[in-house]
Amino acid sequence: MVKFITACHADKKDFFESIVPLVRPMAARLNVDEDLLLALVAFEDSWGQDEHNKALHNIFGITHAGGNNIAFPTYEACVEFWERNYGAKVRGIRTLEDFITAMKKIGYNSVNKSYYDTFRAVYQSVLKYKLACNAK
Amino acid sequence: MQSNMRATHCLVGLFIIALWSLAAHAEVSVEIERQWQQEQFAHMLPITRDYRNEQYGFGVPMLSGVEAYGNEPPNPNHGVVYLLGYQRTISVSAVYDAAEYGSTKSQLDHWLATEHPDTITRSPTVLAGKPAEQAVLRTGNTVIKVVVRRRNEGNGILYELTLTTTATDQAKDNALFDLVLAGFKTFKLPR
Repeated sequence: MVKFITACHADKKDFFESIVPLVRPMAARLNVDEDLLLALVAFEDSWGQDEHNKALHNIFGITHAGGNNIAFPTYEACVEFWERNYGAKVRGIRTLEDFITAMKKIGYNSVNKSYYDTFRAVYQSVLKYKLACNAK
Repeated sequence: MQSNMRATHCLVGLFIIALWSLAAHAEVSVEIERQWQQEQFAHMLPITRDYRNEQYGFGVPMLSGVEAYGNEPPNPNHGVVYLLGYQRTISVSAVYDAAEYGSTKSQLDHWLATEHPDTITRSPTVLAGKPAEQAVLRTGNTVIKVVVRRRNEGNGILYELTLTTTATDQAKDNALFDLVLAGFKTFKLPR
């Protein structure tokens, strides 16, 4: 049997080092599997590589009424905003499919047909790279 | 004479029943359409001006006489959906290639992997002057046409334009989809 080992790329290492400390406390407070939140950040923030979002401290792609992404003073403020707006709707969710059901109910993205299928793939990538990067 | 009158009464009765049945059917159809629209656009807001997405660097024009909707804030802004009719839409959207599909071909492969149509026709195409891939899927009376393109900047952006229609409405909806495809533009990404 061939075993594929994923390498831990530098951008993924940076992602876990910077995002896990931000997301983990919220995941604990909400009793949500933190990997689901990490997958959402990876998807909306291109694994923390989006320079524009970096300047806005906006890791969840949160928007203004006009459609552009909101600027937060800090990453913590962005996480706090997300928890305040979405926390009650995802509280206690531990599985990928339950999370997707909740996100659909919220209408997190009602525009593209393949969003949640791609989200499943991003979630698998998070699990894969978390292991490869030995992110704890 | 009496039997003639009875026959006429019978015919009038049948006519009234047929009319009532048609009216009831129309009422049910309207209710089903209303429910579908409510579910589809529950968390969306109308868009009235040409759509421009700074985050993902693309834009499309509005279509005359066609309603369009985008995600309701504070949800992320990924694109726009045009409402053509009951179960008939055009969606134009973008996401980061966080799943690391890596190419337009792979993007379409993954898109198609979750679909199980009766037939698929796949071909190369061009979107905003760059190579893209398209597929037409038919399942019963439903026709889906999808055009995808991966933008190879940064970690990549996946553009996806989808027409969902019926075989009956395909010709007129396809003409609208062609207008959207022709009007699709990409812009410099914010840095």
